[in-house]
Amino acid sequence: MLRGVGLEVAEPVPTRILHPVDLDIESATAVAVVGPSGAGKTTLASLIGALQQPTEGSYRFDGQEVAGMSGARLAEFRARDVGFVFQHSHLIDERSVVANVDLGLVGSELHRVERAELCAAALEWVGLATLGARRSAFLSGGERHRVAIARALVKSPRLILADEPTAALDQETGREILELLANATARGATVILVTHDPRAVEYVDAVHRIVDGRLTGGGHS
Amino acid sequence: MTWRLRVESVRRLAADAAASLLLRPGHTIGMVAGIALGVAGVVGIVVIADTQQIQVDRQFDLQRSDRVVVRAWTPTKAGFDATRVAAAEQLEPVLDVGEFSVWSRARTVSRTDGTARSSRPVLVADGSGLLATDTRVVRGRSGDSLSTARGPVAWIGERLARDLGLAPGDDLDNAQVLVGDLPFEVVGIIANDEGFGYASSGVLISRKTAVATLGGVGENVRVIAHVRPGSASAVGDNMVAGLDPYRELMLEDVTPPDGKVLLSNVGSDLRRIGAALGGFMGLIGMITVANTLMMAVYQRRRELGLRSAMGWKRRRIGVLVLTESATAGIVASTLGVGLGLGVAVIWSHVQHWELILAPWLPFAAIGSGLTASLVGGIIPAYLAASTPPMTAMRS
Repeated sequence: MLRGVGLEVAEPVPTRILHPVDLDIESATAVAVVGPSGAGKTTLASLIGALQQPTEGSYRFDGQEVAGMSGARLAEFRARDVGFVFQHSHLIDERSVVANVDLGLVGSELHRVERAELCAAALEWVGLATLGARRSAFLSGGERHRVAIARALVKSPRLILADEPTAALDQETGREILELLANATARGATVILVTHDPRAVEYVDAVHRIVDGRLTGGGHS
Repeated sequence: MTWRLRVESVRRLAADAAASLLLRPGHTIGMVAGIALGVAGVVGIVVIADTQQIQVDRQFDLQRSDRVVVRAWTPTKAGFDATRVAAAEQLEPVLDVGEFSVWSRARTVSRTDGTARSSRPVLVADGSGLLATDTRVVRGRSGDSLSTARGPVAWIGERLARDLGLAPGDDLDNAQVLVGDLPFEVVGIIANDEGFGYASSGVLISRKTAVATLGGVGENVRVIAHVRPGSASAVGDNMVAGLDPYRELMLEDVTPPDGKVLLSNVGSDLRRIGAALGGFMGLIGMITVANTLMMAVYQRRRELGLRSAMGWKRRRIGVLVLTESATAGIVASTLGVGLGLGVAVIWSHVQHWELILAPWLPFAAIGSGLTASLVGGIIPAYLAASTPPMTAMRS
């Protein structure tokens, strides 16, 4: 739940990046934040994902105030509750698929056997059960996004943030990725898709539009 | 967190660090090579210096001080009190003690016909002085007769004898030399192969003869004692007090520096040079690590931002970079120790030296390499820890 959350940067010149936003998102639903490039979608997603702190307003996640947390507590929050799927998937190319997925388990106090089981389950869920040992550099674009989704899902987060997950993919692969992300709600995760892909509305429960740093409206799809 | 999970956490950090190093072989090799060469240089220098010191030690052993030289700054014609000199000989470490003075550093010496003129030292000694300096009478009258010698008689050094044309087998009867204008009967030939080689080139006469014929009180009037090695300092103090209790002769112990002191100074100098080089190379190693890691951190900003976005705390990211630095430091130092020892072994073998290796050196070198790499990793680790999580979103 966001109340009056906004962001203004002081340097190089004082600039308002995001005007105060009020936004409520139901848990275990999929939501799309859409808008043109430079509208502030990624900024809003970064605030919801606790990658940075807002300069104003209140952000409560499951009753817990996130705005104002220290850097260490924000890191704990991200490690425990947030899974990210970045536009370019951001895999470490030199490492194996399973090692990349394992990165998502940071902060979890698990033995390596349990970690391996969770990674295998996540890879199976995204349809890459047989590619665990492959070096990430040798994956196709679609496979890389699937691995990124597995990495986000492996710790069973309560929130998954996907930033332009279909931007560099062909039609068919894009649909598959959107479907996978939307299905994550069945695992209890709230999914926020930040995208300007019009197809996304078919896979989400609500759409919010943002233009020039202002949330201009939204509704159920 | 239980100890098992702590171990697991450390294991994962080490595995991450090792993977990061292995996945960037270019950077890793550059960093490892920098530290390894530095450590190898230090190890090689220290081992070769230690080995070399043993060779110096052997040379100095030959020159170790076993003579005490006590000089009279205000000598008298009477010279040293024979009773007191005899008392000094009773000291346990003293083997022989007696006068062995340079009466004149340079006097013209020639044959009686005035030919073969050269400038030579004139020495004054007694029989015990000859023994104390290992000066041998190779021909002619014994040195014991120095104390009873009357009239212008002299012993000449064997080199001087040769220069004067006195062949080794020649009869010394009627042999004479001129010291200045004064004729001296040659009664013996002396030689010294130890530290008083000038005796082989000079003229030796008794104190009474010197006072009576040459006049004066002598230029460098000395009592020399042959002592057991290591006792020179104590015997010197004792002799100064015992030979001249009323400070008439103004005695001073002018014994040359003990070889052990010189050796210790040389060893200390070598160690200081080694330490300076070690410090310099350590600095180079630190700069290499810092430079390489900073480049790596810059190139890995997206990955580090990703880890931060995933929930890695700043401290863990910093520790990851420091672990990489430490791992590289340990590997590089171990390689460097091996390389340095290898060079030292080969060099010692070529020089036919006995290799000396301090047991602590490999551990100290590895410890120093580790320290240098950790210090060099501090700034890159700080920069890495400061990578904002937004880097992942924006890149």
